Amino acid sequence: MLTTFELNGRTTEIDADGDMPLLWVLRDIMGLTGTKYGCGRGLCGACTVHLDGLAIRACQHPVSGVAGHRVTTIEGLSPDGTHPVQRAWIKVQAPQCGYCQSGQIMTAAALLTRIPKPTEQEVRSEMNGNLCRCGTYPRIQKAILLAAEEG
Amino acid sequence: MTVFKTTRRKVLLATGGATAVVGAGALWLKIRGRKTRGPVGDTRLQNEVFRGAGFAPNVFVSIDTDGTVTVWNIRSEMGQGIGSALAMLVAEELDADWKQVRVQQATVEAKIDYGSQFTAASASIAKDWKTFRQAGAIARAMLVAAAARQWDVSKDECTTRNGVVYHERSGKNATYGQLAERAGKEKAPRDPPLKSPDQYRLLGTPAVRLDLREKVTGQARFGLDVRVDDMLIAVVARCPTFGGAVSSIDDTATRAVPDVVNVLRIDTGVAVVARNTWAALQGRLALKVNWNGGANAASNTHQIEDDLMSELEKPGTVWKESGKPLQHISRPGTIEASFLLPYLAHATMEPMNAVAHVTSDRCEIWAPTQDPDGARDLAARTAKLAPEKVIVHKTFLGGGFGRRTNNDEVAEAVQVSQALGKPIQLVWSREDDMQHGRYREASAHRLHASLDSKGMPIAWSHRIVTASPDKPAAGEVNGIALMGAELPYAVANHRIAWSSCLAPVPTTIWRSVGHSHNAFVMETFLDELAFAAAQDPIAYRRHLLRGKPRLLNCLERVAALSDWHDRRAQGQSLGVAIAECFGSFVAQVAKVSVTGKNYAVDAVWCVTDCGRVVNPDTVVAQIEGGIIFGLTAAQYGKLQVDGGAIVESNFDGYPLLRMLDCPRIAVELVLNRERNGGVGEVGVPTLAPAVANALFAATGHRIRKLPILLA
Repeated sequence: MLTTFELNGRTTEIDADGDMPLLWVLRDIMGLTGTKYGCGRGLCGACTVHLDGLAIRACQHPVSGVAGHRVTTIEGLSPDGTHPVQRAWIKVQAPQCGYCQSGQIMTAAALLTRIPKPTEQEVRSEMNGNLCRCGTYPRIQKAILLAAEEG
Repeated sequence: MTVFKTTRRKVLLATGGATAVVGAGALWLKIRGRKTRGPVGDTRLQNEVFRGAGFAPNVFVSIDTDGTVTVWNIRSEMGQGIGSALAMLVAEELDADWKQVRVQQATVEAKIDYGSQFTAASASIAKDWKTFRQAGAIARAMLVAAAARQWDVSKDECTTRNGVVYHERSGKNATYGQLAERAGKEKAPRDPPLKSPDQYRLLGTPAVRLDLREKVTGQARFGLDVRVDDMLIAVVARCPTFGGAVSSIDDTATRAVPDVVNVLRIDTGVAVVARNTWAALQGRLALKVNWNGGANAASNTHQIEDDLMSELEKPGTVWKESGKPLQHISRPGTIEASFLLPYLAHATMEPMNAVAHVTSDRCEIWAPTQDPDGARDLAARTAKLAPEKVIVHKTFLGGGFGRRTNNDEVAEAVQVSQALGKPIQLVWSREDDMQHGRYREASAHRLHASLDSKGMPIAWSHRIVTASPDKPAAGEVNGIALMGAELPYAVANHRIAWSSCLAPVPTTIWRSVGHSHNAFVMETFLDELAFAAAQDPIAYRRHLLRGKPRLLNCLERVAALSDWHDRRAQGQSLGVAIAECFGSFVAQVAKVSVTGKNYAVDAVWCVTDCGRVVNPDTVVAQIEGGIIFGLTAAQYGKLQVDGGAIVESNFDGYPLLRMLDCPRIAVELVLNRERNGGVGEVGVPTLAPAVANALFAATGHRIRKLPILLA
């Protein structure tokens, strides 16, 4: 089945089972491996991407559902890795193993689009769906507040 | 492309022979590898490696003609920042420009001997501290020699800084890149002098980790991100019960799933092979398998807990004993407590996986493994090839925590690849990872203590039972389970005894190993003794820490950092715990608040003394992470067994701590020049007892079971 959508600013046509979750289309067909598989059930947030600017779990969205929509992955967040969230992430040295960080960053970027100056409590609530086993939460919180401040 | 040629120096490929044993007594975990060697006799430091342009005076460092310094990371990068830390060791002695330094993962292959690459036990920096500095010092000496020869000046008059050699008197200078090719012709010094700590420019500073950019742009390559031409994806249907087997299969529906290309039996079950992961997972869903559950089909948590508790009644094998502990604790007034701790999963964010490509005379592996040497050996055995025919590429690890020391997935990938003659990415789903893993063992503990007239312990007895799928040999004790059981406190009469009970659940090392249960039971029990003696928990511990100045210092400092006395005076609920582990010293205070049967951990203060520090920011990050890892276990960690299988399958049944539950964390490092202690695991052990002790302060109830639930 052919599905057409916009992926990281480019019109993209995919020939895949329409039920295939966007996650596997991105990783196995498009070769965009920055979006991670963590649980397959929308419980961990490692696969977070933007659908029309909103953070969604790519493992829970069949590719047929994104037809005609705009998908942004970590690879398309900024042309050179200098999105304010990415800069703040480096500044506070947030990543440890790094596996969950694409999803964390995509959730954080979407959050700052909706709420440019979030409170600490808003950051904690909005980020609650993204698991990090290394325990980088304190630095993620710091990075998001820093990105909001520096813009 | 890396090119290796025979070196012009004498090549003597030493193979690892010595076996280092962790802890005391006869242990079950052996760390493969050679003893730490000095440059004399260490071929890794003496053998030049040809890696193309520039020069590589030893296996650990190479310098390109553009000035790029590459440090070859022999350890697995699983978040602890070891690649950057080893690079700092090299860069310090090399006087490199940190901006020109990058890290590459070492491979395991016959062409180049990096020594053991096993990464566990929080031991990397302690093991590699000298070697990597020597590697940098050797390279620096050769660059200086090349410059001096070119300028016809004395080497002693040359200085180095930020990747440049200077000759001040003549005003000459040259970059390392300009000197690289000439430096390769110089003789490598056997034992170059190393800097004294007051000469350090980089060590001890919070240098920016070198893996950040790739980790914030999605470019970092983990095991699941490996893509090899013509690669297929495989998932394996495994018997739900431990030790069960395939009885019969019907794969008709599976083979009808588009993009499924094959179904085959392997040692661990039935592999479904497809062109993409989704098809492989769909194919597995459609597979009909009759399993033979085997001998463990009735095993369950209640039975295992009963077995642990009844084994506690037996005397066990004495591991340590001094004085007459049994005589003391048989008297009236003895304090006693029993504890029960569950199985735990590592739950790395990246599930287990590996890529294998087996051809008739060669096997190539890409794996996020903590034991790449073991992966090579296992792949060779599985494929029936000589180990020299195997090459292992380490990727980034999406978490390790001990789980990735086993390589089960490598053997599976090799079997499927060999059968089909194609590169295979063997993928474990989250459910596979949680239900077919190897786990932190469940355990039961009983402690006894008798107090003197001042309330101080004069006798201490700790009986440990761990659940194990294997029977120990006669007289053998599980040193891993006993790690941390040794008392840091001065108690004249003490006894520590261990035994195991059989349970079918596979086990392996888990971040902080025996410390993860022993610190909990010992530090909550010590709190009981302090309460019985009507003493402040910190004052009580202070009294017992004679001869432990570093641990005592951490305790005093965490009391100050947490405002222990003021907060307690204000009625806040605090708990303290301390531990000596992996050559480091830790003291933690937790603050809790209780509402009915719910509790929240509001704050954790931690003081750590891990000796000399390579990168304080990375150390603090590891301690923060250890605290959160420990809190996940304390609040939620529990795997249950029913019908011989793990019940929990994903993050709904086995929750991890989330942002909203994350306490405020303050970490302070004790800075000194003591030997390098471990860092990766030391934040974990004291968290659960500190929280449990704080909950006692809040509720008056003792916590004797993990995870912590208020009755």
